[in-house]
Amino acid sequence: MTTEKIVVVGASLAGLRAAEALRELGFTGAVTLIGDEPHHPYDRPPLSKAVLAGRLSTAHTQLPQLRRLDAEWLLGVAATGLDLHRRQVALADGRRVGFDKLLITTGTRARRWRDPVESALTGVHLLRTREDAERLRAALTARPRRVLVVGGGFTGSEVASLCRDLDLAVTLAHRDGAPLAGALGAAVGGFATGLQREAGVDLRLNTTVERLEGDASGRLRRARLSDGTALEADVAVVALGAVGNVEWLAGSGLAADGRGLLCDARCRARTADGGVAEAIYAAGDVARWPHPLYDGRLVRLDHWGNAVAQARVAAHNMLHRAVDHREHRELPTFWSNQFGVNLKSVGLTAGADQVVINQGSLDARKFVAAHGRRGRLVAAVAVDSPRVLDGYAALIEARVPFPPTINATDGPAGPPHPVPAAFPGGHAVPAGGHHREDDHDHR
Amino acid sequence: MPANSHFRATPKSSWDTWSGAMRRWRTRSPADTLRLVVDLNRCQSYGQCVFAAPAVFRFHGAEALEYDYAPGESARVQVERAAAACPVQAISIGTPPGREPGGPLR
Repeated sequence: MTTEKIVVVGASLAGLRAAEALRELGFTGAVTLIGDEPHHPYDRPPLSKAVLAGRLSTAHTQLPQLRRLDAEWLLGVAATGLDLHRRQVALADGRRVGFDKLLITTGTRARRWRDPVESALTGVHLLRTREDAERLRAALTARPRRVLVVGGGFTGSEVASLCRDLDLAVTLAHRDGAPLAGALGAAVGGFATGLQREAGVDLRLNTTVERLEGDASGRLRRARLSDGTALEADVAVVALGAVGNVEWLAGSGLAADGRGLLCDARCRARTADGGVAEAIYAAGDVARWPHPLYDGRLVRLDHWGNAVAQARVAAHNMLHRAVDHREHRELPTFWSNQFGVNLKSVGLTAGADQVVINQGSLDARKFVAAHGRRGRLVAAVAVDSPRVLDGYAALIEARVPFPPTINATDGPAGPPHPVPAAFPGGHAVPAGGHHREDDHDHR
Repeated sequence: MPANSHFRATPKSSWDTWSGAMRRWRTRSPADTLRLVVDLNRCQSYGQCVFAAPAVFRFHGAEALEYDYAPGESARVQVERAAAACPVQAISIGTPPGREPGGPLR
């Protein structure tokens, strides 16, 4: 069958880069991009950093389009259904959009606070969209007496860092023993704990928020924590990770749930009955797939670089016969800036059983933590060492033994001393082998 | 909402402050076709962009690069120099999405 019309549902980074790749690869048919947000694609990483700090307005986060697209953009209208048999996407305004092939890049959204009444209190925020960032920025500009951050993943930690930059009192409640520990293990988590406490964050570890309480006018006033504290706070930022935007796929026959849309390494969507859906592909935050470099463990990554790389593979495969398909096997990479340090990671840290400081030192706040799993190097986390990760990426792809020997001038003086990686809940990978979604909320 | 309304050249923005409004007015003028993005996984903080286009790129802290995705047409020459100077070629320059640049489709 010839492909004359490709529809991309999800008009953010992955959708845009996929549409560009389709054109680059020679597709001259119709391309339609559908997005529920009213904006053309913008970049999310600055929202929790420069935008929240007031150094950049949200209008100045728009992403570039990198080549001619001649695409139809349907923005501000959500997809509400998918009919695989008729090959149609249903939209919230009643329209139906037909396709020959479909790419699903609907991404994720911030997980809401579990209680809808408490969630609706004035002062309770999420941080995912431009509007979220503008609202939270306004709330912080009003100088709240205390900000409560619920969740110590990347978004929560970046918000806490920003609050301290603004000299706002901030409490961060995190259910694990260290911030970022779910994504980066106890060694780097312990380092992050030190950074937060030194910066003046009131860090409550192994602590959850039990209730958010408002006053008669519906404003947040205090939070009840599991350690028994009644904490006065005007602003709460709920940073409990992300959930896949897959509700519109209910009843479609695709294998989708809150963990994302299951697809294979060729970005082809899987069906609920265990098959592969013909002509339906997925990329970006919403996709959950068996990563070839990690023994087929199912992963879903809220990572900027993954959205870009997976979009290209999906576009390639949409335009090629199955024998010419590629696998999406890019190493996961991400970065964060918080508490004055730059943090970069390559590989899959989750599931590591050992970690060693392979370069630099924690005391110098400049180090590389190499992670091993079953005697192989699987990931490296670099703090204020942005130039070393390409080398580690090559070693990970080569599946070198752990601990790796790199003979760096800032390497360990004697033999390396790996310690248990100690991910929360033990080093076992959670059932299904995917990342704990709430700790991979980095965008 | 008619489908073609999404092709409007000036996205809706909140005119909250005078300076913000003036800045948006400058960057939303018809000649404003410059957008850029930095792949911050690839970026290794060499800082050549900060030298080439100090009004667009800067370091916040020792290694954290920040930049303006839509610095306005007047920054184009500087931004092109920065992209050329980047040792790891992490800077991509394009146009506002939905506003078609010229050139062949493929």
